[in-house]
Amino acid sequence: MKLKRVVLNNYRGICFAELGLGSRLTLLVGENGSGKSTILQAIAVGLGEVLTYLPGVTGIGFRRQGDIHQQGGRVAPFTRITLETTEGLGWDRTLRRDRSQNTTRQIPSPLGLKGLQQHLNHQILDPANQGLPYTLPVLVHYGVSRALLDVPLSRKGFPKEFCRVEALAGALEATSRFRRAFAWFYFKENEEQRLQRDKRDFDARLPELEAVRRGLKAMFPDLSEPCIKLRPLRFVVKLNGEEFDVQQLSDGYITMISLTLDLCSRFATANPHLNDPLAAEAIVLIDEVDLHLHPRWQMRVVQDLLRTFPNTQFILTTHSPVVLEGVNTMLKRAILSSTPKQLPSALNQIVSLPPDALCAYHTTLKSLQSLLDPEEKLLEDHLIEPFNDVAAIFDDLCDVLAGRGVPMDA
Amino acid sequence: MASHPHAHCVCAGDGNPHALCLGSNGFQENEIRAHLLPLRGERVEAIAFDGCIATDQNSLRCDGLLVLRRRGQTDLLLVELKNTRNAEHGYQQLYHTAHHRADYQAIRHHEERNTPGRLSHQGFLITTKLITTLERSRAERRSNGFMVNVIRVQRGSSDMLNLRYHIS
Repeated sequence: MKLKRVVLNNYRGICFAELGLGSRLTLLVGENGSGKSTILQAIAVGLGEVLTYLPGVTGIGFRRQGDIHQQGGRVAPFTRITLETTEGLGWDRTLRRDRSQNTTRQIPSPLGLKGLQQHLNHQILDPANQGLPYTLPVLVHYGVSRALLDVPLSRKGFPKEFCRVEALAGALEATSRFRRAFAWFYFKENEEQRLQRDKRDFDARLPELEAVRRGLKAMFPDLSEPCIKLRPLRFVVKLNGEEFDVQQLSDGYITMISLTLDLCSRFATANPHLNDPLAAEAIVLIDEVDLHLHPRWQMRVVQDLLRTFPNTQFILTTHSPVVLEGVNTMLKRAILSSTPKQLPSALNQIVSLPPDALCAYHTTLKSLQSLLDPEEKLLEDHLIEPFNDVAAIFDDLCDVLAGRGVPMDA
Repeated sequence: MASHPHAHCVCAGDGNPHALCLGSNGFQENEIRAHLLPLRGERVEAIAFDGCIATDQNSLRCDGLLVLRRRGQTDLLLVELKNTRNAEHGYQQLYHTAHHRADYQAIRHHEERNTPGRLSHQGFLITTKLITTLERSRAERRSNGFMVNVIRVQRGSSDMLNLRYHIS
C-alpha cells in the first residue's frame, strides 16, 4: 500500500489542502506552525482506519476536541481526511461538529470506508483466515517525542509473544516506542537462543532478528553487535569496538537507534516470511527527520532510510537545508543514471531518486507550494535563506567597520 | 612574467600593483581572500583583472586570474570574490570574461602560444553566501556548461582559502 494523494478539509489549522505524495519520498518544509506536523497527523488519522479494521490492534482517530478547523471563533461544521492509494483505492474519515440537521446539510457525501474494508478483507484477512500467505503493510508515524528514550528497567510486563499484527500496535501514535522495540528484541534473542539449542548450532540465526541487525548495520555502519544484557537490563551496542549502553550515546544516536530499532522490528514482525522483511511495502511518517542530528548526518539520513527500506514510502518534515541539499544529490544522481558515464564508487553509492518518485512542498496554513523545479529537476532550498540573511548582516557590519558604504533603508 | 602582454598587472605583493593583489599568488576584496599555494614543481601567477587589465565601463568582468603552470598542463583560473549581495551575478561575470572579453582572450592566446601541454580554464566564485544546488544548476545552464566552482568562505577568516585543494 502506498498513498498517492491526501486531502484535508477543515483539519486543525488547515482549512483546505490537497497534496500529491511521492511514491518514495514526500518532504514538507516550512516555518514553525505552518502545518507540517498537522499534515503528518492527518495522514496518521487517515491510516488509523486500516489498523482499526484489523483484529488485535487499535488505530488512532480524531481527538474529541480541537481537530475541527476554527476561524473567527466559529468552528467549521466538519473535518474530513481523504486518502487515496496508488491503486486508486480511496477512503475518508469525517468528524462532525454536532449531530444537528444543519450540520448534516453542510457535509459533502463521503467516500466512506467500504472500499478500504473490502481491500483489507481481500488482501489480508481472507488469506490469513485461510492460512494463505499475505503481506502486511507497515504503517508507522514518528513524532518528535521519539527523542525521549523510555528504557525499561525490568522485564516485568514484557509480552510473551509477538504475532504479525503486533507490528502495527501503537504504530501511528507519535510517541516514543523504544520500550516496545526493546521488549521485541529481548523476546527474539531468547527465541534465537532456543533455536541454537535445538539445532545444536551456535551460528543458527533467527531471520527476523537478522533483518533487524542488518537494518541497524545499514543505518549505522560504525555500530555492531546490538544485544540486550541483564543485571542491569540494558540495550548495548559496540561503537568503534567499545561497548556502550545505548543510553550512554549522544542524543543523535539515541534518536536514530530508537527509530531504526522500532521500525526494523515492525518490518520483521509484520512479514517474517519474506526473504528481506525490510523490503516490504510500508508508509513511514517522520516529523523532523533531522532531529538532534549533526549536519553531516542530516546530509545522508534520508538516503540511508531510502536505501535500507527500499519499498517504503517516506513522508517527512524537516527544518534542515542540509536535508534538502542531500535530496538534491539523489535527484542529480538519478539524472546521471540515464547516462552511460562511469562514476567513481563514492558517487555510484548515492541512492538514485527519480523526480517522479518525489514530492516536496513549502507549507503554510493557507497554501502548499511545490519545491521541485520542473526544468532542473532539483528542489528549491528556501531554508538556506535565513543563513544568508545572517551572513548579509555580518557583511554589512564588516563594511561599516571598514568605512565602506552599506545600502541604506529606503 | 617579462614577456607577458599584461605584465603590469601581475601581482607582486599585497596591493601591488593593484589593490586586488594578495601577495604574489592571491586576491582580496572586502576581506574576502583566496590564494593558490603551488605544489612542488608548480608555478603560480596572479593577474589583477578588474581595474587593471579591464578598465572599460562594462562591469561584466571577473576580479582576477590565476595561472597555474604544472607539468604538461596550464590552468587559467578566473576568480570572482563576492559577498552575500548579488553573489549570483558572479556567474555572469565569470562566464562573460571567459567567453566574451577580448582582453581575457588575448591572455589565453598568449598562454596557448607560449606554454607547452594542455590549457584549461575554469571559474571560481568565492563568496560568503551559501549558494543552493538549484541556483548552481540554473547558473551553469545559463553559462552553457562553463565550469564554475563555488566556494563559500567566511569573511575575515584567518584560515585563508587555498584554491590548490579545489583543482584536480
